[in-house]
Amino acid sequence: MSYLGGVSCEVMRTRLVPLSLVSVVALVAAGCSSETTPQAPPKKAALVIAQGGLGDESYNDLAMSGFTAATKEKGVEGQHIESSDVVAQGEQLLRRAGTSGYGLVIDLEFSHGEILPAIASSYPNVQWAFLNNKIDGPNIASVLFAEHDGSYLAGALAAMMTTQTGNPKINPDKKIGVIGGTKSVGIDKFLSGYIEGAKGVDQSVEVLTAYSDTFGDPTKGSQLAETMFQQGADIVYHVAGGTGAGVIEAAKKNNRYAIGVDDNQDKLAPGFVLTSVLKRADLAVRKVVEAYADNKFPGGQVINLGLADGAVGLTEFEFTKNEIPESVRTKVDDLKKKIISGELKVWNVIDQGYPTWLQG
Amino acid sequence: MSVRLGARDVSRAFGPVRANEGVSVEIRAGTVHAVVGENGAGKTTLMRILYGLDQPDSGTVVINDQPVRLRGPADGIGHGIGLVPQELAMIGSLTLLENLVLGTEPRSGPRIDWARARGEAEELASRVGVELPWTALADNVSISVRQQVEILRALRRGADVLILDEPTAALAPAQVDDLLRLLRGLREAGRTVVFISHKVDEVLAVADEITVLRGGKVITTRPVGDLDRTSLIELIVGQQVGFTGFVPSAVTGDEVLTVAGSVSLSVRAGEIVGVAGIAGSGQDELVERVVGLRPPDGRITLAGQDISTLPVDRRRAAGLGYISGDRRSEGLSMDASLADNTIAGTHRTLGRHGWLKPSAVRAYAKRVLDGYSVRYGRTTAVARTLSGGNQQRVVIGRELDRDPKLLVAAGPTRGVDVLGMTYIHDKLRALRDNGSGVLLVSEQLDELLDLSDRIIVLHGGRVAGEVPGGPASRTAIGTLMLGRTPS
Amino acid sequence: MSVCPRSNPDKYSRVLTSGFRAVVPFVIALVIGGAVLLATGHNPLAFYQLLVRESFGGTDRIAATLSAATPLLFTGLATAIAFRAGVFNVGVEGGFVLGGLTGATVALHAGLLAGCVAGALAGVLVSALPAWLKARWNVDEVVTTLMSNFVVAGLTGWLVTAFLQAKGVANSATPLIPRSAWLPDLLPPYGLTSGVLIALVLVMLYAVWIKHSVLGYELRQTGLNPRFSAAQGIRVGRVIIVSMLISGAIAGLGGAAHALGVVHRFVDGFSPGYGFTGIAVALLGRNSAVGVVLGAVLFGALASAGTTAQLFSDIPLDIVDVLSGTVMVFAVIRLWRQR
Repeated sequence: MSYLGGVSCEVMRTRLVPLSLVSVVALVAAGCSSETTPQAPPKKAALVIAQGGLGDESYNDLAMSGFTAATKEKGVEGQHIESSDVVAQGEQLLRRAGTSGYGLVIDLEFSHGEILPAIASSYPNVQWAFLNNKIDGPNIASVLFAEHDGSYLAGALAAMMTTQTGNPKINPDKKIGVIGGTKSVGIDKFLSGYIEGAKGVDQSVEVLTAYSDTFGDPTKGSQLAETMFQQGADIVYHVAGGTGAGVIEAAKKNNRYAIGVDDNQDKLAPGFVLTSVLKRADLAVRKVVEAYADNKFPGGQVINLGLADGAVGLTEFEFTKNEIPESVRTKVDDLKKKIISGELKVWNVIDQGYPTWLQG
Repeated sequence: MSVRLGARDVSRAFGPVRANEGVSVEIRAGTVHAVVGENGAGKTTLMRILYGLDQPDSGTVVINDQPVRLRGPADGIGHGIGLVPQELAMIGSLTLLENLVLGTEPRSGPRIDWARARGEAEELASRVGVELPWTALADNVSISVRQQVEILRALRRGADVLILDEPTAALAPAQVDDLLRLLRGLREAGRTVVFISHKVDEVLAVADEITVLRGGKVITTRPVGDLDRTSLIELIVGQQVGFTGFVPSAVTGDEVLTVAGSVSLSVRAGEIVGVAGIAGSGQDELVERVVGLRPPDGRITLAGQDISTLPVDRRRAAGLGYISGDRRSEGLSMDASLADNTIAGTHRTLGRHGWLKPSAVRAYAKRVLDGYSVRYGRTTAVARTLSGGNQQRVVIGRELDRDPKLLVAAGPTRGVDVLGMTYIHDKLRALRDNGSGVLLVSEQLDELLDLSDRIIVLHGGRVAGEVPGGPASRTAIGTLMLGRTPS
Repeated sequence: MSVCPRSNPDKYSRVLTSGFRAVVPFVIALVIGGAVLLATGHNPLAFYQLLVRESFGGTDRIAATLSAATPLLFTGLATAIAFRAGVFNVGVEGGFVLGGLTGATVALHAGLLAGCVAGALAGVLVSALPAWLKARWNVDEVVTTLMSNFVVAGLTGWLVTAFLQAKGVANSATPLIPRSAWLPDLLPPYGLTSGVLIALVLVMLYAVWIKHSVLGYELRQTGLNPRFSAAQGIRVGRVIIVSMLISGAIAGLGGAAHALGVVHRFVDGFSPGYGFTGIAVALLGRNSAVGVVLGAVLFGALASAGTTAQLFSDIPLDIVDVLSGTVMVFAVIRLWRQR
């Protein structure tokens, strides 16, 4: 073995040296031929990608598409930053971004919330934006989504649908359901809005609730939804990430409805996803970039994105339009208008704590 | 044409080690030519150069009186030179016939012509006077039979010069006789044989000419008739050697070892008990049970204490020493330093509060290594860098320095040259005369007869009989080893 | 008789040879990465310059590199100790993750020191079963330790969502540890955790311990030649168990230090595979103390510089994956040859 090892090492030595020489020459040649960097444009923005990275066909990709479009339109030089270890590298990464000539840094990674205020105060000339959580700082803009408003509409829609007759996907029971990924205020914000919407339409509608305790287990999602269907629910809303795929699957199998979340999930099982509660990260990023480009960056403020901006809302019922009566759609639209106008105010668990209809 | 194969002024160095220095040999066609010397004398290097596996730094190989340059073993084979290595390369799951023709199968169209292969094999075997079980799997035959197949394979590939590197190292006495007969058969068939060995008796029994190497240089080449056992040994080692021969124990005391189980025996203080048997007769199992490396199948006592269920370290603490028969993987840790090899087993006594003091370790290792005449540079050198004989001295030193009540010595001189062997034998006798017991397991009959006070012969995992030590028991042991009762 | 001229080299050339062998994988990685960069129309020299600057060009960048290297020092060391005993423990990832969760949870209630101790104990727990299976029944530790990683991943996910979830946080995370229980930063404001000192002290202790302690001696011998060791009276099974437990303790302590010094809680994405990178660190570093430090710094530099390089260049993170991936391939080849 040692003999063979010696031989192979010898072979490597004789072959490697010329090879690396050749490549170094090539590198030098390439270095000489390339131009120096063009003059930097005045405005530069960076987008820190969250865990999961680009290609997640969800949050990151959506935000990235808004970032790309907005920076292009506004002539801002945009750069996105991925990291295989975005949680632990947050501190150094954000500090480096602060010293690198960027005027705006948008951070999608939720775990950076606690470290951001100190970093932002170290680099007062840089504008910082954070999504999904309110972070304090004169040069930090927080973007929150009115997910409770979107969920309210979904609850109202479900409550009106569960009393329909002549639809094979609807049973006589006045029961609907919702499955949360975990018991937390962030998720209960959705649940509370959904229940409030349902009760607002019809006090006698019963809403079954359950938590999957995981965002990545479709099998568990399927089992929970299955149970709810057996208990008489015919529409189940999921707020459970990847677990929700199982909820949608179960709806299709049992000839019932699911309601999707975040992205437009209607096409995952056409006709069995009643609608999806959209949360448009792309619009959020776009708004921040545009404000920055127009020198109107809302530092120290919270940007609440909701139904009015189209950043939250229901889908266009691409596959279920024919199954939802005109009157129901009109009523949902009315509710939407009332919320936008402020006539109707939906309970926000994050600001207001837990309501009577949902246990904390 | 007189010189079939030879070397002219060949030198080869590996770093500071001059393995061959101005070596010239002439091997005449149709003779058996022995190359003898101590371990490290340069025998193997010379053979590798003659076969083309290695190239000399200076000097040339001579084939059929002409200087040639061998660039690799293919050149050697092209010149009709075959090498039978120490480690046989056969495929165990194939028959002997399949192994023989592997790679050069006689074909009729796309198919292998097995009838013709068998015919060729029989013819080849009868020409050199052996009979082989051609349809047996290589795994199921003895190493001696496999070696014969290896020789025939070289012949079949057109070799008329055969180089055999230490061919008898792994053979039982009866098998050695078979091999020597085969070599004589080769000579009668007109082939040339180069026979590398450090075993004087074999060489004298079969060679026509003998070349003695020492320290990388040729000391002499002489016809066998000019030499006798003593003069040859003195040429090999370069000095006079005193052989002690059989000296029975003067005083024996109480039993230091009793073994009861599939093999039952006992060893007394001041006694060397030999264990003989053809390979695989239960020697390994016996040794491992006594040492504690195999679960017991009966009761074992050491100096009156039942050690059957004790782990190795407790047995060693109770006075057990162990020279492993497998020096390369059990007796020594080849990639560990000499110091680490030397203190193994004693290391806990060298420690203080769980720490080893480097100076104490070094001092201990130096004392043991120097005390047993190990030639070494630094105690930090790895064991692999020592010659085989020196390696064995490290093992002997480590085990004997602790003054064991019972020493289990398995093949204590395996791969050790003449001087080293006499040294080790003297040490074992001295240990015995000091009142220790020795359980000596060996494949070398001469060693057993010379050293042992009693010899237990194993056959098929059982005790086949017991004979007294000394040269008179040779025939009786041979019979018992084969499972027969001596008349 | 020695055939191979390399088998008896003087010390100087041996150091050169091993240094050369350690550098070869990295050089090849640079060449392959350079080829990829050229093929995609980038200038490799400029990019490599950028990487060097982002790794070591200033206090903040050195802090970032050391910060990224810190968990790898723990996992590399944990792996090296087991490897040194001949145990191919690939379960350090699991120890690190469970150590992180345990440390983050215990520190919430009982403070810094208790968090660290609990983390180490959690790591011990993870490695205990594979250790026992290997020592008692000779069950292949590669299989059992690899499986233990999956068990830990599932277990921690469940524990967090079912019992330990922070209130008011949508994602899977435990509550933020109070500042009093944090491992302090060394170079504020650059956020280099003092965990790096713990790791370096452990590495130095390892260097001395493995060489000069009785147990270190037995561990080395067991790794070099278990048959020899058993025959000399070293209790090989016990040594294997001890090496695995120490390995697990260091992995768990590493996780706790990461939780208490860097992340300040246990969250999704707590370890992006530190345990697996640690295997590469140990293999490239040949299980030596110096080698582990160099390997951890190399991978740490690649990770931190690869991320911030994106601020200055369009070259995607993937190219850094090519670099570290190539180095890891060599590490795996080495593992295969060791086995």
